[in-house]
Amino acid sequence: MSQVWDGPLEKIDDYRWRIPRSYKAGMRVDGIIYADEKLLKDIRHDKAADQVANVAFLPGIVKASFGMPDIHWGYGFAIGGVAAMDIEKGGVISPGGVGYDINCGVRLVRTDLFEKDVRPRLKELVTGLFHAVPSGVGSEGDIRVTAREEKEILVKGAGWAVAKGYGTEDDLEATEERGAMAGADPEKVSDRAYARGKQQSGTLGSGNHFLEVQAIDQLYDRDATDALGLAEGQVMVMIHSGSRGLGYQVCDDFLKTMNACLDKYHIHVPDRQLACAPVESPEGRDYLAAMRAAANYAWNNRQCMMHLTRQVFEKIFASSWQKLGMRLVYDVAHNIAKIETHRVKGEERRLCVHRKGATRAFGPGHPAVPEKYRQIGQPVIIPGDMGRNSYLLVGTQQAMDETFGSTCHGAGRLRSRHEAKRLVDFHALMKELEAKGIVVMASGHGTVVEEAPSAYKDVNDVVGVVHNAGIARRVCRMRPLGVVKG
Amino acid sequence: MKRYEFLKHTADVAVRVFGRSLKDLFGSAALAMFAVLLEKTKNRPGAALTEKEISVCGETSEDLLKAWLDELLFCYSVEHLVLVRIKSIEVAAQEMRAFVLFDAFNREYYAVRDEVKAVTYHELEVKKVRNRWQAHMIFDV
Repeated sequence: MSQVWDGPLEKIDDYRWRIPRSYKAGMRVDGIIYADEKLLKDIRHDKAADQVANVAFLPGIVKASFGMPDIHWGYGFAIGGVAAMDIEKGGVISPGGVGYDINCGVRLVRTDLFEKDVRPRLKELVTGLFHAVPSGVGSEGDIRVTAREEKEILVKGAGWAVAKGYGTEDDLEATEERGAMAGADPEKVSDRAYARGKQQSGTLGSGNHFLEVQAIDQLYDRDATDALGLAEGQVMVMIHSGSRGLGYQVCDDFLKTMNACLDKYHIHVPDRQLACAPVESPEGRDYLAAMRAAANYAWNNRQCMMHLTRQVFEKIFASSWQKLGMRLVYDVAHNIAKIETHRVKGEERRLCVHRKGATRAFGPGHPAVPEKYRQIGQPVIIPGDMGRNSYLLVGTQQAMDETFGSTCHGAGRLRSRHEAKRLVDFHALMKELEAKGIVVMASGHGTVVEEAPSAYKDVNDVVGVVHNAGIARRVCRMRPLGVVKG
Repeated sequence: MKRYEFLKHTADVAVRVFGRSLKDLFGSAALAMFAVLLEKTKNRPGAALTEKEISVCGETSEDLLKAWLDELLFCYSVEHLVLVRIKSIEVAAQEMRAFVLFDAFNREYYAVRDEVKAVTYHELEVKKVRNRWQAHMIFDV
């Protein structure tokens, strides 16, 4: 969109902006966007803010429709949105509020290796990872799964892989929901979705999905880094992927279902992509059961990819992954809906929290946070673009109080893929990355160019806003050494 | 006549497609989607093509267009079939039927571009502008 969105954005403070309910008739709550002046300019350049206002139309929404600083124009919901609906008050669930890539998420693995250990073998390592983890479009995984096992995965999630020997109990302990949401029902997943997800277990996918070898380049919170066993220069692995074809199809199936029942529930939405149904309705319950199944598929997927990654490290560094200290720090979902209890106007309410391009960021002491992190808060993993940085943060009490324990999810796109393709020269970009010591391997030139750093906002700005606003706290920053793209 | 053009969109692929008739428009939309998915790098003379019948229903022209593209996307993502030619196509108010020729995907002849996750309902529109048909679609990639 070339024109600027000129709707109302009232300044609350340096990091919070309000779209008042009065902006559009039908808004049930205000919209609130977390941004500073610099990011706000980018936000005004597409329809994201308008989408934040549209989400405020949905029945049962409480507090506000939230936009994170990495927000950008999606379909229906903006990407970078948080919305919670009160279940008892007819609150709805919307497949568009989760997105096509159900449980797209990130996991971060630590190692005992330092940059100086990895640098001499970096090319070999990236090549090894590129071949071991199938990535591109239509690629099929090395981890073969039968039809019966497929259904098991949808219930057990990452626990399936662990039972197969592709990981340990500790991995599950360090995964949101322990790698499997309860209440998943494989029978609510269509044959079409099974067909699209078949043979994709352990595959990365394309687009913005990646596997990166990174080094910690800045520490912000020594207490937290000590608790996490992290130091400057230490090598980390980050995996960003989701539920592949299975999740896309579950979303598409239920958008159809919910578009067909809008009249039945007297729901008016300003955009068909916002189709929804009450959480406590047959359609809502079925979607939730299918969504959880797809989410479990994604957790298993990331667990399998971590296993393949550990194998590559074992081969190259001639040691076991345990000896290399390759423990999972944490795994977060950033496209998901969850039933959670939060305080609204001083009262505990059961809410359906949609996080679309947003990360759960529960504060210290919350029972859903693994015991080992309960003092510091839930780890939050924020991937940036391939040329700049990524972050590890922790959740805060303020996020609990303000945003249902939610924060941003990444850098956020700035330019369209086509614009990036037009503006970025593949060879020049590769040279630029090489000069920074970054090794990139991808199945095609297209994805690399589309995902060029210049297509993204600066993740440092985005993380700066959530940190300063208090809805997450910086722990440490990484910079990429090696990148594998789909 | 230009059959499709890509428009600016931050995260996804927005496209406007054109047709002399509704069935011509549906053909253009299919071509546009496959242009997002892949690119032919080499000719494949004498390839054995697969013929498939595709028939779908929908309450509105928009639903029908989405249903048609959904079928093609399914053929591509599950059976790895690449659209080569539409042999025949009929589009009525609430149903459509086509016979389509597909080639089997092969990395030697095709370079993969983007993965289309879905054809979205967001800003999906089919309309007649004077004596021509136009549609606007957003693919989630």
